[in-house]
Amino acid sequence: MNNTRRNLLRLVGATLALSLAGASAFADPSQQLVDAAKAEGQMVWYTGLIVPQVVRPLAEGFQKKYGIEVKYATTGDSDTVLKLTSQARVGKMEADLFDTPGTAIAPLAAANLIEPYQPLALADYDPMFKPASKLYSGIYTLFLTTTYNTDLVPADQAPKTYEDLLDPKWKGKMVWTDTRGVSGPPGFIGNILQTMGEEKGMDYLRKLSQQQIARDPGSQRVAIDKVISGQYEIGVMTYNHHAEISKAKGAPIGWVKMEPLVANLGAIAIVKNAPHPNAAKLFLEYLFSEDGAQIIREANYPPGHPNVQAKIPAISPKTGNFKFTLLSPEVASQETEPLKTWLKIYDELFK
Amino acid sequence: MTAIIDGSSQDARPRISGAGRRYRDPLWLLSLVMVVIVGCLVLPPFVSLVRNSLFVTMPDGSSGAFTLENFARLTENGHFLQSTINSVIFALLSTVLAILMGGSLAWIVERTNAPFRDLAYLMTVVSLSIPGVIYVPAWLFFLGPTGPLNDLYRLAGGSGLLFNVNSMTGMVIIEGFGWIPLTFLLFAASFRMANAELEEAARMSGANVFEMMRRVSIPLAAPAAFAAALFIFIRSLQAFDIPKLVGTGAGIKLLTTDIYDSIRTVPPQIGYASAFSVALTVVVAGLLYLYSRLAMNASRFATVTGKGYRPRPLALGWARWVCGGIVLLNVLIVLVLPLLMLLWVAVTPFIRPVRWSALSSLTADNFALVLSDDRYLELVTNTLIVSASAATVTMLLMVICGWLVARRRVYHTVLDQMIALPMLIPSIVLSVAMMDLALRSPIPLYSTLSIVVIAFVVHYLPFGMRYTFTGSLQLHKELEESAGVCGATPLGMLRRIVVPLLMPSIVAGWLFVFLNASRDLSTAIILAGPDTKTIAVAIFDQAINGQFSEVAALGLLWSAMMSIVAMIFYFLVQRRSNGGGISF
Repeated sequence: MNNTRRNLLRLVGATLALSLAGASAFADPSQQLVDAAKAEGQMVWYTGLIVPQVVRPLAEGFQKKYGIEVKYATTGDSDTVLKLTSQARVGKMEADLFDTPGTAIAPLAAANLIEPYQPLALADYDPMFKPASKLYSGIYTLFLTTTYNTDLVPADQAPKTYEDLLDPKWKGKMVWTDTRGVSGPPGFIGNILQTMGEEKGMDYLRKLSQQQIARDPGSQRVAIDKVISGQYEIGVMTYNHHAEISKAKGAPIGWVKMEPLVANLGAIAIVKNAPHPNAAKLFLEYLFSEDGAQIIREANYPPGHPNVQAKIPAISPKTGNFKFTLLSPEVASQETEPLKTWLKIYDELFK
Repeated sequence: MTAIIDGSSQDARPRISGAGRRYRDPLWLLSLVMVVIVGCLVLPPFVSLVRNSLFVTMPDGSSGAFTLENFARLTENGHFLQSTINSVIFALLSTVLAILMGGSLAWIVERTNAPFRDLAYLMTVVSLSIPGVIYVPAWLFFLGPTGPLNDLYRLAGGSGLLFNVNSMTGMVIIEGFGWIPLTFLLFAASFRMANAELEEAARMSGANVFEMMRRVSIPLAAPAAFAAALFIFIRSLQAFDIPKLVGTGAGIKLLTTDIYDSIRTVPPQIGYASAFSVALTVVVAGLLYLYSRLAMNASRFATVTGKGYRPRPLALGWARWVCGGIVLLNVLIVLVLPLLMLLWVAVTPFIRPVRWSALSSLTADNFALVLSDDRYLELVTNTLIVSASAATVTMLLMVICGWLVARRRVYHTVLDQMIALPMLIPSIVLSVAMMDLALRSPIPLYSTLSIVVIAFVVHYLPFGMRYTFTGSLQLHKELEESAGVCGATPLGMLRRIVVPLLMPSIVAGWLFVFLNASRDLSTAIILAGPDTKTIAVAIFDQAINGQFSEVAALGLLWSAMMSIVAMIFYFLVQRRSNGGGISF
């Protein structure tokens, strides 16, 4: 609960600061950085973001503005860690930047492979996008919540609160992914324990485990598709932006503000001993500028930039008006606490 | 079994025993070169495999202290016995299913005059070009609770589910079906060269078709069948995607179920997967030893002799329509059903059951999205270069090795065993080992297409070997001997006798490697650099970020293109060989 309140307060604070300062408060990168970056001429980005909608528009926009070429390679999170550690061991760094849904930050920080940096352009962003450690910067937050098939479940009967999920009528009709991270059941467990407290939370989880929630081995997208196709009535820990995108295409899917929602941060960071560190820094300045935030918005993600609203207002807590618990990259590592405990609870109760 | 074999007890194979002890194989240098090349390709990843299994991996990826924990973990999940039994049942049944379907299809296509036979090769080429990342979900949807199968059942008045895909049966069906094309190709290569005289002799001696199959066709195909069966069995035992994707819902645990999770952890815990592979290597080594005892008298199976071997198809009576039906059934299962399913998914705006009412919402948006993207030219070019190079290098090496091993020339045991090793190395371990190798290599290899090619060559060596080895087994030595008598050097003999006769196997193997390399995701993703992206990268990007309908559209377009490329290649080769012999 505390976390959520703090987040809300931060949000309110940021909004206030913004309305006082106006839109012109964003610092341009220093000429020194621009010159150094131009001298480097190019940079390499390991990315898991969607190429046609996010990566390429950003690369092209950056090249147009500064004349610096952005090379990118699509990698999954675990590939990123494997590649960067292997390159570091031999001392042949190829990458300058990498992004991650959060999980790669802790292992790469442990291997001392992240160069701390906080872009100036983040100045007016909510604090959750710029951690004190400066190990990463948040690109956007995504929100996980409960979804339902609108053909099978009328809106007024859909579960609204976590308690509602315990209703026997949902037994065997709910699905979540088997994801072993904060965007899967362990994140749900963490959210419950943080909101309800240890004792009440465990009590709730034990009751929930009687509901026989199906574990789907696919992604959150696969799980929500199974709700859309009617295989299950309720999706737990599914993304609200997925629901909105499908709803726009006519799919029978709705989502509820089951508060607090679980928030994940998409993070980006600079590699230690990067071959083009200045170009990477300049790229981050561009990514977090209003131009960059527009590209994020067009790809249907809720941007963190205070001046740029989400394309679908409902999916962002600012415009959609909901509370959430941020499960930041710091808690997203499977090998450290608290996720380790949450995984253990998941394995014991739900497997 | 021996009763049916033509008189080939004359074995001119060089024996290193008694008086022949000082005999030196004239091909020793060639054998040695092959041992060195294969060793350089196969041993580094195998050494990493063993090292990963025995040492702790540090945060920076280097090896730490010695540990046996990875092996202990294999047995400590509490259900070790049950998991082992499940794994063996799964692998065994999948193998049996694949061989029943693929083997019978091969016999029908190669040895009979049944109708629709030409469809079988088309089916194989197209199915080998469908990426696994869309093939498995297609089956899951088809057999799933909201899929057409259960829909039809409910339409027919049934309630609930006719078939629960999340079960051992579902796992076996999807895994087994996936192996039909390979089984078909392996069996077809051997049936094609089977000596029709033996079957005809059986018929003339009064055997009916079934008796002939039981006593002649099947025993003749036995060594190839056993090799193929063992191969598929091992691959299925190691499979972790289908057990995880299909079995999770049913709570069925296999030995590999946890491995799926452990290599998807960030960073991946490769030690556990490696320990499993090492343990499996020991078991398989035993099986391979058994097999090598069996293949010892390989020349007994030679059917392509100097006497002319153009096989004639068997004229079936009414049974040809039954056989034609079996061909159509295979085409339906391997190709038509999954493709229709994928097409449905690709043209619907969101995933929904197959309904008339949904027809009005059909859209070409997903295809338009793929086609409007102009980055594909680079990806397609890179993919074709990588796959064609990998297939060519693999088959070049394997035509020599397959023949050397089939002829039991000097060093054949070590060669055979080394070539079998990559079968046991999980592709993630192979990719990581290759990445390390490329980074440490004095020649700049990292982030180049060359390293991707090398990784594919290592990965597909055992597959290529299956084609050339089986083919060589069936070439009778008398052809080679007569070349020798006529004064050909060993290399000249290889080039002018063995390679032309093996051409059908070589082409089939080449296509197999080419198509599989082009749809391989994991290796290509780890090894691709910013300038060496292949189509795998685009499919992976869609698969992690997009909706399944977009992945399906991209996958279908890709399969269509690769099928056409493979078909053109096939016609070109067939024309060059003047229509002789090559039917794939």
